[in-house]
Amino acid sequence: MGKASEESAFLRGDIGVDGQAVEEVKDEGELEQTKVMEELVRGRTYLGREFLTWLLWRTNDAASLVTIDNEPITVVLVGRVVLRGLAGEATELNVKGVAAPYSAIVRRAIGDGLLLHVARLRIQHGEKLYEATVDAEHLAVRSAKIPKVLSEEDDDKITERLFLAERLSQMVDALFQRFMKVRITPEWAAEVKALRGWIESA
Amino acid sequence: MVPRRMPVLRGSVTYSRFRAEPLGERAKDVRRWAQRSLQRRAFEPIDRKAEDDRAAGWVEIERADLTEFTPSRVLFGEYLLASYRVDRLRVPGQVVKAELDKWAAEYEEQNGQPPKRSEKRNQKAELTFKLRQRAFPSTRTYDVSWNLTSNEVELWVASAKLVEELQVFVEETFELHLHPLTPGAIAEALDAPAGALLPTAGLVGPSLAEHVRGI
Repeated sequence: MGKASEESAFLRGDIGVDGQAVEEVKDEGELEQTKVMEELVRGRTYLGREFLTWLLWRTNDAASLVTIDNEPITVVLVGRVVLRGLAGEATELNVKGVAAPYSAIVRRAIGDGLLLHVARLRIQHGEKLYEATVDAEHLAVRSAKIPKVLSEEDDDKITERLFLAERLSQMVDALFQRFMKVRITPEWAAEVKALRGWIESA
Repeated sequence: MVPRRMPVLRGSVTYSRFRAEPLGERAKDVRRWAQRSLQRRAFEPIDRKAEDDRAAGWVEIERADLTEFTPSRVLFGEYLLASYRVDRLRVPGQVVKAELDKWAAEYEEQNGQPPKRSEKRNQKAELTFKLRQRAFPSTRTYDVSWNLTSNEVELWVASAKLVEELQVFVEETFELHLHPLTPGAIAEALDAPAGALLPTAGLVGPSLAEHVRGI
């Protein structure tokens, strides 16, 4: 390398004072944060996390949030929850236990910037009881339990089971829409403030 | 008869949700259209003489060995139901290695020297081909339900990779687009002002909120 080109390489930061190439060391935390941001922006996953976190807060008092076919729906979060955050010392927290979702450790984690990414919902609709694991990215239904099929005939059993699975999706949608209804209004700021108050009381 | 587990009928429920957007007008005769579409991409067993060790295609929901798709076996009320069958033929590497080592030892004994690398390679190919004829394929089926009234499609699969594969297969079979029902998609359908869908800084943190605003 000629002296002039060596000097310009030094000025660009490609080589150091000793003439050796400078290898750009990417910060591990920065890389992780970029990856997490991309994941959150894709399909607006952050909306899903805000929804599950809001649902945790709103279901704390076991009041009904929505109604389908004139029957109220009550929801309670049960079992395992996964929380994810953007940055910090811990970016994922997996908490198990019967009352894990409402535990102080989960609320403190939310206070530290983590939000619910996966939660198991127990939904009561009239006399029917459903349970499903829902994730913030796709709102996909995993390992769900639906009410027992009552039909006798094989074809009727299939359509009844499909109807119940679809009803479960409708209930998840109804809860999400209930969340969005308040989220897109100016009332959302007050709602967030109240939610944060509940978190901080842990 | 190939037995079916049929998650649509029993067991715990796992599915990913999509909204179907047909690319053209749907045929008036839904029964015939469903049958023809599925038959065009029906499952065909692995050809043991060919190189492919995987075969995939549609089978009937109640019988994984039937591909007639008569309307009564495909249309249930307002639902269209079918199963995506995937067969895999695997010759275990250690079995091939053991057979190859045995052959190499015999070769050396007969010829006084080990086989050349090219001879060993040819023998390996021959052995793999022979073992393929005896191998038993593994069979998995994944259900798909499509509510033809609401146009919601459910892929009864857990793995993200399979969801992606099945999504493409459904789109090609029925000439439609499948839009994942993500929180973003549902929120956008509510016709909310764009600014209202930005992240809540008080919950997700200010850095993400700024990042999304900058996009």
